[in-house]
Amino acid sequence: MNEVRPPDPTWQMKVYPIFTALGWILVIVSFTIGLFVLAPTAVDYWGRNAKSVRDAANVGSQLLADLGTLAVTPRWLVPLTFLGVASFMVGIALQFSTIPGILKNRGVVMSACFPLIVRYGK
Amino acid sequence: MTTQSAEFLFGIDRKKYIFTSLEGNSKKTPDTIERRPPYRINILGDRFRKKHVKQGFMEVQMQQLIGKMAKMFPMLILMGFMIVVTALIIGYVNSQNAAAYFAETKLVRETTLLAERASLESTGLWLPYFKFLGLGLILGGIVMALRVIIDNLKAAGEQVLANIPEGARPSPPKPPAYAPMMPMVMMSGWVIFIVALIVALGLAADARALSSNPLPEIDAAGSGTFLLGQLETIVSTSAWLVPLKFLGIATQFLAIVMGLSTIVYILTSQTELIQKGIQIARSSGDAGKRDEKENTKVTA
Repeated sequence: MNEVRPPDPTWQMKVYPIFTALGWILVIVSFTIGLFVLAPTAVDYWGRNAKSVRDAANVGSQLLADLGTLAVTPRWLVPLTFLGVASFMVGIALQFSTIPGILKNRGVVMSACFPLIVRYGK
Repeated sequence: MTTQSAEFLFGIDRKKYIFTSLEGNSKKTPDTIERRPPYRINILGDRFRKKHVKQGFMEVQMQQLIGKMAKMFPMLILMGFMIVVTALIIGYVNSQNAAAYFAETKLVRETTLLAERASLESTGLWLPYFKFLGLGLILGGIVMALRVIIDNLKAAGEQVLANIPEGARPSPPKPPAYAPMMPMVMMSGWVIFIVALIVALGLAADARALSSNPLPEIDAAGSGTFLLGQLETIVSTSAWLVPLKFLGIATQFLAIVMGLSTIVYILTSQTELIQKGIQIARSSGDAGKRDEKENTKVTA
């Protein structure tokens, strides 16, 4: 009972950096795809062709391929971004979950301290 | 820098050193090293040491200032919440405008209701970024609350350690390297949100100008025209602006992660320090008992 030890390292403290890194990677990837893929494709599609040209694009043409990219990519990119945000939140939740164990250990430590405080206190 | 490396670098003859005490009193006449207590040799002069002392002092001042600002976290959370509520009200008003706009026929919508269309398009462009600015302020308030918890934990630990005599007191552990970076990361997130909002306001102005033209005119705009250039700017900028606001959110979450890690580190370190404190208390208590025994033997 008089043995005072810090709390044992929990699995949450080893796992949460993985979720934090995963969240960061997913958000950076979605930003990079938005900046270097979607933005130039939008410039090519919208900026250089009138509506009549866009509407008349044939199957297999670059214009139709650009439209495909612009229509399809955000549909999985936005959920991927939210997955990154959710990963961050999971990492934060894992960190929070270690605090009750630390505070419980603090209770054990303080109950070991009090007899000594009484014995050696002035 | 060691004395030997300083000698090598500056080619200084030891006998010509100016020996200064730690308090900075300099003596022009060198003395033999064996007779004097060990003084710090001032190679680069007082200016070098003063610069580093000044830098450390400024860092401490900045951390103290951040600590004072952190206590304002309820205001940050309230401001963020008010921004989100304002965005909700504006969004509702915008939705009622959209209901009135789409109640008309296609011909009327695309040729006559230009002002309404301009308002709808421009509001739809800047409002999400205004909302995320509010979320960013709330998350920043949470980061500041974590900073208040960290400061209080450190103060409580110092208060407990103050009960141990100064000579026997264990030194508090060094904070982790990422701990002082927490406010900077949080502010970077805020900068990202503000930049995104400013760019979005610019885009909203472009959208208002574009939508003020009848839709058939916009559809007929050819390559190289001003109208098509505006459309290109709006769509291509939105492509990277949307993920940018999530990058801001991720930055705020990173600051929260840093804060929580620091709290866990402090709690764990304090337990180790309490352990050391108990050992000191036991050893001093046992030493006291031994002294008492010896005194009673002597008097006897």
